[in-house]
Amino acid sequence: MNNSDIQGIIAVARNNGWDYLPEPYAKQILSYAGIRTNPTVLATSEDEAVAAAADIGYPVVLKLVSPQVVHKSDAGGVVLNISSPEQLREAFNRIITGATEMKVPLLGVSVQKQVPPGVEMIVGAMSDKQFGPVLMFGLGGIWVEVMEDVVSRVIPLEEGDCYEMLAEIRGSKLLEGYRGTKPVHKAGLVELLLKVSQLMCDCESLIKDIDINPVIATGEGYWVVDARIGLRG
Amino acid sequence: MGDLQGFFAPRAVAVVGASNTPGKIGYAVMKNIIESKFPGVIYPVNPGQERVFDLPAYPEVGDLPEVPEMVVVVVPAARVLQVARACGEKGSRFLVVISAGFKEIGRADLERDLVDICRQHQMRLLGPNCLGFMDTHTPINASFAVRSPLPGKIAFFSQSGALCLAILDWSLEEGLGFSKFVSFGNKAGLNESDFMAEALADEGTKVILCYLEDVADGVYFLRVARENAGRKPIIILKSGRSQAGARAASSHTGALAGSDRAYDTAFRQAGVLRADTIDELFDLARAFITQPPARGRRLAIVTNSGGPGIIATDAAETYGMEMAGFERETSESLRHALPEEASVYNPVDILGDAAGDRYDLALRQVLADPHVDNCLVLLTPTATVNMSEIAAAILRNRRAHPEKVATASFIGGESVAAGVRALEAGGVPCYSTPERAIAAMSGLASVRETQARLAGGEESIYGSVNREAVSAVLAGVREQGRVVLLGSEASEITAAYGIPTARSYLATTVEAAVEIAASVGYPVVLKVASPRIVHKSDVGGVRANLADPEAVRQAFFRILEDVQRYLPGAEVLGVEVQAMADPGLELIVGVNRDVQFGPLLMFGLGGIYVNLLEDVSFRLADGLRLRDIKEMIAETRAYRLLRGYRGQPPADMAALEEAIGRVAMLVRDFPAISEMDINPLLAYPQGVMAIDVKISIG
Repeated sequence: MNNSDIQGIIAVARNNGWDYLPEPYAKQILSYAGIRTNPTVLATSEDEAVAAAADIGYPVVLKLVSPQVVHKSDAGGVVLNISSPEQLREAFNRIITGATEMKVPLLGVSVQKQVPPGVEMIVGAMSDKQFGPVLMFGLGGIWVEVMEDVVSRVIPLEEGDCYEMLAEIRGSKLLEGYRGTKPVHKAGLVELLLKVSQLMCDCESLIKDIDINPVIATGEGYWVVDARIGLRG
Repeated sequence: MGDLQGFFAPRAVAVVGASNTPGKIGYAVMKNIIESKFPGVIYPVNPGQERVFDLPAYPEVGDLPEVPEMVVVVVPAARVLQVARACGEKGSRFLVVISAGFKEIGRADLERDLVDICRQHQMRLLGPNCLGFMDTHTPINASFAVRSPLPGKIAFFSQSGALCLAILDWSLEEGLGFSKFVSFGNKAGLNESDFMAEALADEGTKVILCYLEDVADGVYFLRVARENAGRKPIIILKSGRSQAGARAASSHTGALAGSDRAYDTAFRQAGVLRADTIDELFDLARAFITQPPARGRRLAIVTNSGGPGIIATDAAETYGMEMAGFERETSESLRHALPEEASVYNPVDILGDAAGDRYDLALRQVLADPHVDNCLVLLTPTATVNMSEIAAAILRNRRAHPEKVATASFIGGESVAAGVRALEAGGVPCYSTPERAIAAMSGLASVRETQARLAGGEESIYGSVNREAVSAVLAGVREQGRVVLLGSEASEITAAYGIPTARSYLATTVEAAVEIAASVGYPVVLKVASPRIVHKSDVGGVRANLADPEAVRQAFFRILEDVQRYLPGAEVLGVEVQAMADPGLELIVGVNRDVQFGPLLMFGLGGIYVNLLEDVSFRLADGLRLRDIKEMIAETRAYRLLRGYRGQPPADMAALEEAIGRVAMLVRDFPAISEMDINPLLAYPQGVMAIDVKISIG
């Protein structure tokens, strides 16, 4: 991991007065840390978006990018399963119009690779006043708040701790495969947990918290499809 | 209760096997009856003795000068039947068989014969293999317990005689008094429900405590408890919570239900409080005996130290109590009355040097506050504590507010013992820890809430149900000697009961499949129809999203090939064709029939999440009202999703409630249905849809 790359992104964010990194920037930092994120490009015009989608390959997802909107889907800022340039143009304009109506400051729209379905997990890290950096893992997506099925560990962690976390959540059976689906690639998830821990450790002076939700776990590995990084003031 | 009238106050009691020899049960029973100052006539029966305990003894029951209303039998099991017959012929009404040697050692035959004799002569039977019973108001102690209980207002019934003895001994030390004390033994005749009914009608009983290993007659139990509807508290310690005994079941509902779940649900729906431990049973009993009905869950804490105050505040949250917010005047008066360092908000901390006067000042304000329903007084033994002064202050304030619940926890050992005794004697239960006090107060509140919950409302009944169609399907299944319905049959049943269903139809030929697909509309899903295959997708037995006849044809043959490959020789009746439903929130509605309490309904998150997250709630189908249905939905985490989540529109609650109500009605109307799962039941902003229905018949 190259700390100066990370510092560069954070410096940009600070200059803009952001207190957290919008998704494309957060994903950039995660990929510097060796974490697999789905290909994501920030587009500021319709044509840029179409070109990005051609690069990435359909189907794609469009997401509103704003330094203010945390729950993008609440604001109608997420469109899934886009399979053609026509659909993409239409979705792009819909997102922009919606954001303009709601007077949301806009950085653009991100074009992302739509990843195959899997188990939605959440991985988070934050800094506790007493214990320092803490890692969290659990069921992601809509299940986070409904099921509150998460477990935590104080960082630093070892591989064994990560496997324990995987086994400790109530929904751990989801990771074992169900009704004919493959078990998820646990070693991949463990690697993700270790890398997030490492990132949090290395950048504790810059990063307040990391929220990866969801990361899609599959039989082959994982894809971080949404992330947010809070910055220290 | 009519036929138990007089059981606890018989006019005359005969003891068959009465003995003069200390150490014999016949001796202990005689001694207890006499020493309990039983006001009726006592007839010892023993062919070898002239007199027993200085009373004239008779060789046989038949020789007695009058009909003994009750006969207590302590002779060996082999002679019990003969004695029972004699009692019946004489005209006795109650037979108490203390003797062991029946079903519990494998002699179920002997027990059956005993029951038959009692039935022939219309005698009510307690036991066999029991300790006997006591009533402190009559008074009578017709047991072989070593000691007699203190008189009081608790009725205690127990399936374990040993626990009776332990409780009795302990209660004497604790100063807890009983109205009735009954050991059921094998429950061959009279059971918990008979005695519950009797104690509910008894003015001398305020609280009913029960230790049970099982319920003898679930329907009777529910009737008695529901009639009471929480008016008189019934607290039951039921053992056997572990899932070890839960039988293997083919349905999700069956697997998650287990028999203890049925007990939990039945107790709850009948307004019975369940205790998990012996401690809890008696903590609750002490609260119910001494306290007025709870008015709510708002709790004030007065403490002389910070730590226990915080522990109590945490416990309040754990047990669902609310920390009361005081009126402004209350805090202001406290501010004037207490030292500057004291905390005048809840929990009120009157500091370690508080003496009786400070407890008095604080309690006077706190108990008078209209936002306070319950008050917990905490004490830790600091150097300045004068126990009798403080106890007196607490009791004085308690008496000034008899309408409020007041308990205490004096935390410590020897140095608080005098205070604890004084409070207990004055009617303020004093617990060893704040958590126990708060758990007991939560029990008081929940019984009060139960009363409100059980009041009013009728069992939900719905129109437009086609009973004949259901009967016809079930008859067809039986004729073929099956117990598991095909998906097509099950979907016909739910549709007939007005539950919105994506009907599925059985196709035995590929052309039939194409025809059905055209009539239900594309896209369709095909599933293998086999009574033996439960998880169809695991064997390649499901093909979804088929958009045209060609896709249906291919899928038809693929399914048959795959199933043949994965499960060679599996019986396949054809392929079921069903229209694809729009995606919705996946729920489950299931039914599992409990031996005691009838059909048990389950609701929760469906699809793959049923087994993984076990986010489900249960209710008995019998007597299920709309408000029960609403409650069972609201109890699950799925409820949050149903209300609309992250920009999603809320689900159609009325349609969901009706679907659950109709399932309950279906299984009430058709006792033959032993297990049922609708999984998933899809919930939409408008309407619900049953997608996969499984039904088994017993």
